Amino acid sequence: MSTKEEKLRAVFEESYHALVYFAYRFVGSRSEAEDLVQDAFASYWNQTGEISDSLPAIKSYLYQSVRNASLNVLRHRLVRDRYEQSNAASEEYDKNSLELMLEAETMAILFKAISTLPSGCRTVTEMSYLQGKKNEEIAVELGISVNTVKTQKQRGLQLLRSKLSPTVLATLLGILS
Amino acid sequence: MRYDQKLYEKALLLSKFARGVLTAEEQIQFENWLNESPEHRKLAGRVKDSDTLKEAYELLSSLDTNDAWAKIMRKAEASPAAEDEPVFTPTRKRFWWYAAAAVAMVAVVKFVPWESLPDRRANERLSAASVLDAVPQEITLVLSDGTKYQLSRLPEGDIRLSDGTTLFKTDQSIRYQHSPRTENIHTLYTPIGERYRVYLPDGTSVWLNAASSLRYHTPQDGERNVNLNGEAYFEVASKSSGKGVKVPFRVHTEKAVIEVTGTEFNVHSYEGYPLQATLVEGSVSLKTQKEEMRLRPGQQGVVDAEISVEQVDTDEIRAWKEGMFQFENKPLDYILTELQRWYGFELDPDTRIPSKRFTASISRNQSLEAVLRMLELSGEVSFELNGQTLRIKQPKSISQPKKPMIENLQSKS
Repeated sequence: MSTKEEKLRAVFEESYHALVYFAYRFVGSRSEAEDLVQDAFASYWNQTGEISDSLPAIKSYLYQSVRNASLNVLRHRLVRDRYEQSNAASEEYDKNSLELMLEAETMAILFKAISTLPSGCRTVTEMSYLQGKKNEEIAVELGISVNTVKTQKQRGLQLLRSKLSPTVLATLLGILS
Repeated sequence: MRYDQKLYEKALLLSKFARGVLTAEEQIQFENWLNESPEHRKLAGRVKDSDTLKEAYELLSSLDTNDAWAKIMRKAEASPAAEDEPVFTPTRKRFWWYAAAAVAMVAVVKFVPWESLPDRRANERLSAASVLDAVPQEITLVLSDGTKYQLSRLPEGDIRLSDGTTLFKTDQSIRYQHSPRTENIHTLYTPIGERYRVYLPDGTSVWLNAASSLRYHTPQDGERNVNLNGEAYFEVASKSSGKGVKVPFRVHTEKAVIEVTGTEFNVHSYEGYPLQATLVEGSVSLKTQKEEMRLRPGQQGVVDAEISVEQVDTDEIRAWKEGMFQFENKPLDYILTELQRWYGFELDPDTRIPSKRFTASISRNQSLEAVLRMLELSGEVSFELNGQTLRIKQPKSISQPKKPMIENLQSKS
């Protein structure tokens, strides 16, 4: 059984979105952020014989790796642009890494929770929650009643509540005895 | 900078805060956390800010994970060590693995339904007419006159069938465009391990799961009736007759008829198992010869000797069409049956299935080995796969101490 690729794939599915968001907050470009994160996965693969069974340990390593690479990119930019305040910006990001990590994880959780809602709910949730549209606007745009919009919003919240339940574990696989 | 269970729980709390669904208790926890530092307040402000959320959502929804994974594997193989080797073709190793997996899925397999009682052997359940006798090796569309089309061999785009029907074909679906005047009956069959989507002439979308078949009329004038064997997820198009009356859509299965008007629901109707109809949105009624039951969203009707209704997690039911296995506290024998439909392996008749339960969310794109390996990570079960036959070994009673990866890496450098 080829386990290394499958294990890393599982880690990837779990954490790619959060890591890309994290890198994006440093470097500000999606393609650069994706490159950084993909490189981090690739180096982890190359350096490791056996993938650890501890998801938190792997994620910690990946976050460190992506952070270091991101800071490098920022320093290169500073040097290139010849700013007087040499490392001010990168130092700030350095200090707030923990909060950035938390922000990234939160955004990834929200994204996964919303994007897996049933289609009617999801569309209404995206339009109201993310785009800030009013019930009447949404009703007109989708050709449904305001009541239906309200119902869909309600359902969206209900479903999200259960998706965001604290019993869901961060590990690859949870067991209920 | 550590990622751990605590951080995960904080992120969940923040997500609930962002959506405004904190419980009273959580609200207190959250406020304590807020007061710990101004950075925390800043972060809370950010996750509530709609511009930030919009930007985040747009970024994350634009990510193509399959593409990203392929790039990671390419980058991994283009490592310094590999470059020194002469005439090294990185892709060859990969090809063997995929080729082996593809062959494994296409091989003809006897379906062995499973009983949870430990002293019952698997092949006792194998009835004379095994469901899999009718399962083809490829996705097949059969016309009224028996003409068969193996869809994977057809090009994408507009297609005209021998009976005059035109379809639009993509890699994962067919869409009915024009149907000839004379009424025809088409049947779509899926093999083990593949799911497919068909847009019926009225616009209804049907995701057909593995080892299933769907029979329907084309064109669909008047009432809409289809026949299902297996599992399908329906998104029914609303249709009104000339007088403004809603035209019902009926799914006929072995045990019951499911009648809907404009709605989203899942039907699980494999031969030899109870019928499970789950309503996601809209309204549906289940009819057997003896009774009729109306379902509300989130409810699942189970038809065995009679109809019983319960509230379920619709995410779990819909997961398969999103390309996932999702099991919520399900017994191992149930999980193995679902895996069999997707991967087509056999269970060793002498093997015993422990009555353990699992909760897991796993992509269907992974190999069987990967999925089994994930189940094994729980430490509760151990598998042995010999070719197409699966055995369950007794779990190890002593677990090995695990070192976190970071320690190992530091000692290497």
